[in-house]
Amino acid sequence: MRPEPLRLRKLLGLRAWWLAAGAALILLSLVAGVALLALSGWFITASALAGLGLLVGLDIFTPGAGIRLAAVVRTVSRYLERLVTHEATFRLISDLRSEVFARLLRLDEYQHRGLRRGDTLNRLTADIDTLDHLFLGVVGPTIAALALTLLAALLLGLFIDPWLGLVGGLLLTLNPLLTEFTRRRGLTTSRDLVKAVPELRRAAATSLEGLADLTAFDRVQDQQKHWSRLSDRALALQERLARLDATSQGLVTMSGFVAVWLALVIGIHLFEAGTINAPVLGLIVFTLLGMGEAWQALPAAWRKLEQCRGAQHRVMEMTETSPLLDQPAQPRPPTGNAITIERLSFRYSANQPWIFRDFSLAIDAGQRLALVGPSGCGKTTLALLIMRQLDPVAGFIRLGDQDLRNLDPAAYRRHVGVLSQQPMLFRDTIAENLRLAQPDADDLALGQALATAGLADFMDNLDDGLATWLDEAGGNVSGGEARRLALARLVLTDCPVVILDEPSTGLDRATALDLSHTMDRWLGNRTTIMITHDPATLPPHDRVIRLESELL
Amino acid sequence: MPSSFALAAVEALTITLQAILLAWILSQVILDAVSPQALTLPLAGLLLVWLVRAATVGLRSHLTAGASSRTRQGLRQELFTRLAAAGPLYRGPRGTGQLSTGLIEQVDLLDPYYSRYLPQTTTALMVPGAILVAVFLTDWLAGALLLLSAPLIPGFMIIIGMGAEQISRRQQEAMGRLSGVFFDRLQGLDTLRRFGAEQRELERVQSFSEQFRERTMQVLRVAFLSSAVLEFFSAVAIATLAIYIGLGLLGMIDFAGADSLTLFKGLFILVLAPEFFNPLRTLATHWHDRAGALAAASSLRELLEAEPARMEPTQPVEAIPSRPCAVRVTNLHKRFAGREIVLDGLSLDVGAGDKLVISGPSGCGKSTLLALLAGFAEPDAGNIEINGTDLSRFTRAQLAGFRAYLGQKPLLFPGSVEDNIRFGDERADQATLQRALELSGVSAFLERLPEGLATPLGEGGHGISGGQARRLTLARALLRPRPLLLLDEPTASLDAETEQAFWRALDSAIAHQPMTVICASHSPLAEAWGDRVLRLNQGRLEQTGET
Repeated sequence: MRPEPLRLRKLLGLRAWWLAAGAALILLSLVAGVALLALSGWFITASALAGLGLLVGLDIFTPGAGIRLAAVVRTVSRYLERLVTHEATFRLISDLRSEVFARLLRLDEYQHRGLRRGDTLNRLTADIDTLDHLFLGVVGPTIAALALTLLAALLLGLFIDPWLGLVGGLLLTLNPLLTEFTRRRGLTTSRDLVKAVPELRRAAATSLEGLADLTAFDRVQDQQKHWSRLSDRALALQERLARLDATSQGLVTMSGFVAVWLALVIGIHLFEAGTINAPVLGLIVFTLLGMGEAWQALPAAWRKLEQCRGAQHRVMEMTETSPLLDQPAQPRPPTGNAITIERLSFRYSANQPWIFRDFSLAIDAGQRLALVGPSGCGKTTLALLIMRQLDPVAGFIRLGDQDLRNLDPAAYRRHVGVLSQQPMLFRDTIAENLRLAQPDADDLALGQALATAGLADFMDNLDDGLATWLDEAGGNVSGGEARRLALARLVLTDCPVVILDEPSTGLDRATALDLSHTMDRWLGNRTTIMITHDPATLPPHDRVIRLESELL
Repeated sequence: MPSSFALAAVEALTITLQAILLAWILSQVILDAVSPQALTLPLAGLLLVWLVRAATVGLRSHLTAGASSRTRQGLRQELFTRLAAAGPLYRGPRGTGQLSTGLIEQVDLLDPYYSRYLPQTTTALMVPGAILVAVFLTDWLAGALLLLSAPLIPGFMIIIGMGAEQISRRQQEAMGRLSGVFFDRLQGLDTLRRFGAEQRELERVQSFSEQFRERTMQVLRVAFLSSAVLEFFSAVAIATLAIYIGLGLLGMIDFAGADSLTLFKGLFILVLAPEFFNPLRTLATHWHDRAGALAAASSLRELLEAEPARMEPTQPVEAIPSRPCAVRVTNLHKRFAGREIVLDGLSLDVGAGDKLVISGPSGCGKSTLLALLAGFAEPDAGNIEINGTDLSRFTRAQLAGFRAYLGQKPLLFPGSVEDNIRFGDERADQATLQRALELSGVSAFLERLPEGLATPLGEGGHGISGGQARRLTLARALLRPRPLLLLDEPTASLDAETEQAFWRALDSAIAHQPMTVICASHSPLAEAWGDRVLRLNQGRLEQTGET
């Protein structure tokens, strides 16, 4: 079942009123700017004629009021336009984030971990941020520029002379063509740049992280040369795009002036022929002079659209993945705490080696089992299979007497708790981190869970207590504290089956032993599977199973 | 930049010329009934002036694009050189991630400053200046009106500057924090799923977005006011000028030079009035580029001030050791700015061919000691002698010739297994390579790799196991006989069996290629392997017994 594709247009549709208001206000401020100049041109010419006695009965109040009105409207609409377009962008980005987040949440845990590899998530976040340009820089200004030019062309063409309408029509054709030309010319360069920058970033990371080795083997200069080549390439691509923008900016300016010039020549002929009077000639020239502003920024904005398209494409691709695991037709609630593995065979894909073949193991309810073995022997894979983050290729895993594949997935996930070497703590308060496990737990319950996890003293030393904010990935707590916080979270789920994945790795011995003591008390008679390559610091256990790799 | 002055001057000139020509043509046609044919020359001139002006606009951006590129290129080189010289012990304010951001993103943030803001300051100075002079010469009161708004402009620019700086800072902060929260939740998707907290966190992410939006909009509402003021002044000045000129032409104003106003003068001033404000408005919109660039520049300055960790000797030694080295360390001190003392008068004697293990909990300074022994940095006080020669008298290249180093996270780059081994000595011949493969135990697993020596490795050694990676880097170190081997936690995160295999391989290598080995490790297996174990405690060494 493939999820319905994520459509930007649909998201834009949700905020259509905001976008329309933004575009309307941009248009209004442009119209007011043009009107200010055009009316002034008309008024000055008319006044000169009246002053010389060539025009009688000139009403000076109406145009004067019009000029003042245009000045005020111009100011106010510019201010409102900026507020509204920013508001719209914030809302859209927020919609997009929620949508992407909701879609990714539907995936399996195993797929989630796949997302963490490399810079996938970094890119996704950056891509969503890139898309704000689409809203702020492209949609509104383009609609406004087109509408303004069309309006001017229609008014001049219908009320004054069709030839003037054609001049407007020329702008209406030439400028979009220039814009499209810029976008196309920038296409390959933009694409190359999208690849060049991450490559440069990787080279920078390698250089900095491997600086000891580079220095030790006196290879710093070679690496610098390599990095410089990548950096120069990225800069050259950026420069090429900047030069393209420069060219198109010059060309759009030129097309604007050519239009004014044509209007001037046509206007002079119309005046000669007596079709129009002198003030209207002034009005025509200043109208076109005022329109240049609307098109200035568009070619560069459209050129950046290519980046948006790339970003949109990647976001869509990521959100259109389907979950890997099948959903049971008639989900059953998980019951029992004994786990039976029967003739399990597993490999990650058909062209990869078998990790398990005909592997069987029975874990009684309440038993504590330690799985040991060298790295790469399949310990972690087995844990993933037991948690049903992966399904066996052949064979069965049962909880009680039910195959895991028949259980209600959400209920089973809460049935089996996991404590890992690097538990995920969120950038949020301690309380919110714990409430993930039990949303309606009160502060007392949270305090008890923290005490069970051996964090009573730690909490007493915090000024803000439960409201203490944890930095990204728990950056402001030590490794031992992070694991205890994760343990407290697990305490709140009160899961009957627990998997401890390298619970003491990376901790110094004293901390590890202390933690294992705490865990021992809480584990009680929960069914526990402990995975480690260092069994010395595990909590007491009933059985040790050594896994030998199929590969070795 | 002289070229940007020249271009701004050309722009000011074309703006004035276009105004003269346009006003003159219109006034000729309207008042003097000159036929279009007689105006062919001025019309052609006007078109030419406009084309030149448009070309100037394009050319200026072309030039600044090149200049910005060159500036950033130079800066990146300088930064890289600085960071490399500051050595592996320099981590900067916030670790390698931050340094890498400095090298790439922050340098790029300077682009809009060099390519947009800086050239615009020249234009914003010269164009309004020239227009002011031209308008003054035409009608002093109109000039005075523009001038009246001109002294206000610096004041407004400051307000706008502060406003814009606030906008960009707050907006970046808010966006940054919001992306951070979002990124954080994305990283923990599996955890959220495990706890069944999907809906709850979705709502929380939404409420964060809402909060940030509201807070940012509050700031923006005020910040945008400052640019509205500039907009207001420019619109009102144009309107006032138009009305003043109109009334003057009507003869309704009888002071100043109003009675000498003509249609030509009036149109000339009207064409110039918006041009007076345009460069200033553009400058205001580029102000946030300046704010972003200033922030980036201040953190880059910190990196550029990184001290070199080691000076190359002025009089290097002539020969480098070729037999196992004796190492003597006397009264070594080292501390890092703002941190505790790491090494506090440490002394140590290592005999030629010794296998010394330095143990101690993580963070006790083992790595720092190893880095000093490797010559990555200089001690604050005390000295290190290799076979009686002070370490500071060896050049970087000489050190690389006799000292091998294997760190906690060895550098494995995308390339073949062979490329990665030859990193230790690119010119090594086939026989030498073969020998290193044997000694390090790489040959034992080589045939299990899909393409043997040609097997491509991914980023960070993706494609081989942790134990294989260690042996591969051992082969790299053994590629050239180097009589001093320094190991910094060489078996971290390996399981016992793999670790044991590593030590066995190292022993067999020593048997064929004698060397002094100094190893920092807190692994019991490493302690069992060493001839002598010293414990590093509070910056000094303690004997723990010999095996």
